[in-house]
Amino acid sequence: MYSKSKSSRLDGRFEAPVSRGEPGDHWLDGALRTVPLPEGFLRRVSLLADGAANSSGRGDGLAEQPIARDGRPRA
Amino acid sequence: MALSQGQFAELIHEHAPALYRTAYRMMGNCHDAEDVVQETLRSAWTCRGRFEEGRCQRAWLATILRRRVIDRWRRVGRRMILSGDGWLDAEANETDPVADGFTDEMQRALGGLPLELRESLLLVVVGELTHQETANVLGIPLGTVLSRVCRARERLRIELRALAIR
Repeated sequence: MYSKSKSSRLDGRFEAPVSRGEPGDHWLDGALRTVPLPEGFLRRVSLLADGAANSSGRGDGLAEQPIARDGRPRA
Repeated sequence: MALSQGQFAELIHEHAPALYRTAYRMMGNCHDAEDVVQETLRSAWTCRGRFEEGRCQRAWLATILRRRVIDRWRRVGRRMILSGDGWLDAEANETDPVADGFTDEMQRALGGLPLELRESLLLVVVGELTHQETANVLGIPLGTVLSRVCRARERLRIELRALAIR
């Protein structure tokens, strides 16, 4: 069983346990899933749900452009 | 039965993080990944009338996400090489300049995998779909998915070993 090192727990990275032999499936899967979400990501995608709430029900009601990090539709 | 606005909000809350992680692993760039996730959710809302109740939401979203990723690769003119049964990404080793110091040997190792192995592995492991759901998303037999995931893990070990030696 492989686990994150102390330093990797701090910065979200996994370090390959090469010195201890081949990484197992559990370690590989954990490393693949270790991707930090960008700051404000959930807030930005939640704006899509708000856009849906404001739609007429006929169209999609959502911004056509991706929502930028400041929360506005990107030009 | 179409998704209601409330169900759509729940869907975003429940699935957006896994969609982002899958998109990031497919594309290797956080801006592209977030754009693709937003496009996916926008498409899901637009096509909400086609959502079949009882169908796995994650698998439905993963199907849309995969299409959006391929669309984006084509739109930005990313260099792709057609292999025997799919597209190989010729530029998967790019570094992400805005990842706030997030360096990841795993991403480089993934770049060494053929696309058909990579996407099967990512849908199962990062997208957390079942093997059968992954088979349905990719339109391939279950046995092929099982084989690809197994081979992908083996190739990943080889790539990681090679990176550690360098």
